[in-house]
This record gives sequence, C-alpha cells and structure tokens, in this order.
Amino acid sequence: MEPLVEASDLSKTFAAGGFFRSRYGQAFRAVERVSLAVYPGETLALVGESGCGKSTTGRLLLGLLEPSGGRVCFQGRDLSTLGRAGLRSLRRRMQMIFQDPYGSLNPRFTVGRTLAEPLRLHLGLSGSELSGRVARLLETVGLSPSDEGRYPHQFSGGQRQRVAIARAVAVSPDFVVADEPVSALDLSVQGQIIRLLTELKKSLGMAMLFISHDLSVVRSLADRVAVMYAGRVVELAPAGRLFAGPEHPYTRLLLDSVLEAAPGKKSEHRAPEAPPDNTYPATAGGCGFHGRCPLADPGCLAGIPELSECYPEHWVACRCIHSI
Amino acid sequence: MAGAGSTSELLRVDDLSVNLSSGVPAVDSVSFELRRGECLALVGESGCGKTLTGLSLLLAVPPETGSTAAGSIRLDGCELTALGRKRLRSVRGGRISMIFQDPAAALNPLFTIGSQVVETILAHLEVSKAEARQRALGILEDVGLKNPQRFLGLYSHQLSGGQCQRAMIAVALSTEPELLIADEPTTALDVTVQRQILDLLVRLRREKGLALLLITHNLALVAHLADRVLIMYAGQIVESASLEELFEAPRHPYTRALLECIPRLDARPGLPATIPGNVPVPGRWPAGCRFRERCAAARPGCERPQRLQPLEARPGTLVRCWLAAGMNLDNE
Repeated sequence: MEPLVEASDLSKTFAAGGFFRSRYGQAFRAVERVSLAVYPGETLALVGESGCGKSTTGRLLLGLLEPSGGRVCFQGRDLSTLGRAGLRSLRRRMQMIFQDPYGSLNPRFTVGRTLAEPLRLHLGLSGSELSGRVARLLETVGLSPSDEGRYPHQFSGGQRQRVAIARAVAVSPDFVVADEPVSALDLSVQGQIIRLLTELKKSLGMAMLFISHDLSVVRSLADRVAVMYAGRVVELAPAGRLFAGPEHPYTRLLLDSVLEAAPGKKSEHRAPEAPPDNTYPATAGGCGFHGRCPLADPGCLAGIPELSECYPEHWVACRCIHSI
Repeated sequence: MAGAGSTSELLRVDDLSVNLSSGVPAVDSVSFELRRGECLALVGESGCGKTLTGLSLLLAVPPETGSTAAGSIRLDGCELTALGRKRLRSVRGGRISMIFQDPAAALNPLFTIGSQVVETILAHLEVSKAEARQRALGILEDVGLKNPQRFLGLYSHQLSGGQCQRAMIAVALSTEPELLIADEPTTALDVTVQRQILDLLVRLRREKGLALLLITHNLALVAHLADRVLIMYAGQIVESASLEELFEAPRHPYTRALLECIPRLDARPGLPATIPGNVPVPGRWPAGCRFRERCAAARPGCERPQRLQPLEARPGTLVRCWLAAGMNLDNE
C-alpha cells in the first residue's frame, strides 16, 4: 500500500534567539532525520517525553512548519513544492486536534460558528445545508444539536475536546494529527474520547497520528507505535509487538513508568532516571539515550545508532539490539 | 515516626460545606479525619469538589469562587475556622502546605527558586537569613534537585516540568509542615517524571513522617501512595475505605467505574472503559443518589436520599449506596 503521508529524513532546527538563546545555546535540533510513513486508515502513535520532538514532527507532517531538512509527501506530493495555494487546498484533507481545547477554540465563537467555519471555507456550504451539517456533526461527536449556540467556556473539558474533534472531522479529512488529545482529561473522560476517535476513524476511514507521552493511553487504539527520544525515532513496531516485546531500553523505561493499578507494591519500584533537564544535551556523536541507559557502554558514544529491523516490521535504533 | 505519634489524630473535618459564590452548594457535608503520618486520598473526577475541599482546609477558597458555608476543621484540636487572620497565616503554609497540579503557575516567575524558598522560611520560622539560606539548600537537595546551589538562582521558566514540581514541593516543605495537601501533583507531568515525583512523595512521607492529603482522579497513583481512600462524587463522600479493601472489593458503583477506567498495559487491546455522561454540575445534582444517572446498577429506590453508612460486614468501610450497603450482602 502507498503511504498517505510520508516523511523522509525530516529535520527541524529552531534558530536560537531572544528568549531561548540562553537555554539552548546556538540552535535547538527538535527533530533529526525522522523517516515515518502513515498509511491510509491506520493509527500511528508517536510516543515520548516532553521535548522529544513529537509535536514538532506532527506539525511538520501537516506542513504547519517548514522542515530544515528532508521532506514530507502527502500522497506522493512534496509539501514544499506546493506553494501557498496548493497547501491550502490540502488543508481540508489534513486536520489537527490539540491537547488544550480551551486554547484552540475561539472563546468568542459559539460552537455552531466554530464548526460552520471550515464547512463554509472548504466545502462552500451555506444556509440550511450548513446548519443541518453542523447539527449532524454535533450528534456524531456525542453532543446535542441544541449545544450549537453555546460558548466553549460553557462546556466541560471532555465536551470541549468533542467540539475540537468535530471541527477537525467536519471536512472529512484523510489525515488527522491528534496532539495529546486526552492528557488534560480525567481518566473516565479519556476513555470516552478514545472511543470517539476510534469510532470516527472507522466510520470516516481517516488515518491518524496520535501523539502521547503515555504508552498505556496508546494501547487501545494504535495500529503501530513510534517511540521518539531526543528528536529521533528510536523504535517503531506494530502495537501488539511493541507492547509484548519492547526492544529499545527507552521504550522499556516508558513501559516501566506506567503505574500499575494495584496496591501492595508501594515504594518498591525503581525510579527511572529523567533527562538532566528537558533540553537534551547535544548528542556529541553518540546515542542520545546513553546517559540514562542501563545497557550503555563506551561504545554507545561512537556513533548515532540508525534504525534497523530486528524482527519483520519492528525497527530499533540501538547498537545493543541485533538486527535480523 | 512509628509508634504512638503516628496513630494520633492530626486533622478532623466535620460536616464541611462549601458554597460557590452564587450560593450553590459545591461541597456537601464532608467529614473525615487524618492521622499523623497518614496518607489519605481524596478521589473523584473533575467537578466533584475535591479541590474546593482541599482549599477550604486552608481556608483559602478564593472569595470570587465561593466560601465555606458550614462545618468545623480542627488541626490538633484547634478550630481553624475560628482563628484570626494572623494565627491562620501561621498555619497556612506553616503547619499545612499545599502543592498544585501546575507548578509553573504556582511559582512566581519573577523571583528565583531560592528567594521563594528563603522567603517562605523567613515568613514562618524565626531564623536568620543565612540560616534560612542554608535550610533552603538542604530542602532543595531533599526534593532531589542535585546541585542545589545552582537551583537557588534559577527562575521557574528555566526548569523542566519535573524540576518545577520539585521546586514547588521544596517551597511547600520549607516550613516543615505536618500536613501536605497535594492536588493532582503528577497529572501534568510525563509518565517517567510522574514516577519520580511519586517516589519523592513516598520518600518524604517515610523520612519526615509527613501526613498527606492526596487529591487526584487517578486511582493508580493512589494505589502506590495512600493508606486510606475517600471517593468523592458531586460534592459528597460516597465511599471511605482502606486502600487494600478499596482495590480488593470496591463497594460503590462509582468506585468500581473509576477503577475500570485505569488504562492497563496487560489488558488485551480493546476500547477503554469509560463512565458515560458527566459529573452533574453544582446546582443540578439529582435528588437521591447523585450518581444514579450514570450508574449501571441504578434501579427504583435510588431516587431516595442516600446515607453514608458503615458496612456491617466490613467495619471501617463507609458507603453511600443502599444497594451496596447491606441488602445485597447475602447474595454476594
């Protein structure tokens, strides 16, 4: 199958200046040589800690940021060659859902207006056709058509996220990037939103990049999982495979960090080491994870490990894991 | 901290009610006690009134949000609601401290971490500036900020999320409080950092004999930290049990639903469990059992008022559900 979205050798460096100059020195490499493909209808989860470059990768895939190196193709077309008008026509087919729906919804627009906007702009709907569509959208995401006249602050966090999802799927996109869409929500509501996303994905046949820092959240909806660390993809595998047999030490650390929902193991667990701070020191030619890695030895500083296939479809970037 | 001191009562709350500024009740006759060195968890979804309960223990509910309507809060037998402002200030941030979900918002961005810790110490303890500084270094190290000298001079924007949370805990602990109220202390953090903050809280409890009121919606966190659990729904306590009993045999249908919502790695992939609907907002609480509209076990009779009553079969456990509280015990 042809990938819907394909990133090859994608890099993004943020120039230092102003506020961040002291923090990052010269330039901050947020994403380094990431190659990923998202296939039609699949959910690819992108997992890692704050600052690992997962949100930047999501934005690059949507063409919201310009890459410093490499390229992104949507159905074989390089985004950088499209120009502004070309990109705009693609926007309908690529949408984004953010972590904080309160920040991403216009507080002065009623929900009805928020949802009508993309329908008018992209599909040219108006009048009763438009209002009928808005009403149906609200029902699709589990809200009531009578909510149309309400403002974002009148909804709970979960309901607001439903509105944000409705806006994203309003124009029937082929590809949605969901950036930590449930992290700010109660566990009980997280489940509701994940169910909704799963249903929508099935009924609309859209592909999704689901960004999260928590592997347990990803468990129920991902087809494949990519784990990122310090700007690079360090492991990529089908979800079942990754949860049953994680290979990269960082993936294991992430899995170990998930709290078990059972008492009796109080304070016995091992605390995984955090990054010294979330700037990730420049990897001077070595594996970026070696400072926290239980398997690290001096050889890990010799070169940056490339992704290699350790099982069919299962890729790992670690010199301690042998490829097939 | 073991021995007689660890079992005596530190805090006792009786029939605490908090009204929103509109006059609508948001916390409804909450009673509990907290022993020295104990960790009590207050668990429920957003909008259940748990944060308001926490804030009202410090008499720190912002006036534009609401006010304490009734009830008594006694710390070591001393009635806090009757204290004058000056005495209250020595308790607040002194004997009782609080940490919040968003440390970046709780720390002052214009002052260094060091000055915030030192200022807190100077405000509450009678020590010299030099002593306060020395103390601050010790506390920063205690909360796991290695090289504390360096952190003294940093501002909150220069710290990562986990370091911010540690710094806030340092400010909270700088006056050696007996009780720490922790409101969703890990929710905004990466899973790896959540784990570290959890370990820090476990260690601080052990080393300092700190009593902890843990406010959270996540029962997985509770499982690793708490001794006893209060489940709160729509302003009321609906279940009160020891940690082991709560996980072994949760009684209230709401407790069961919360437990099922914890994402598990070992589970077979499938759709995650949810609780349908939303917590009713204050003012729209249904009569009788407030959970019944979302409850899978609801039946005629649930619309009658529900009492928080002890379980005969399990002394010490209280449950506010007539179905769970007795009549069905024989069938189980």
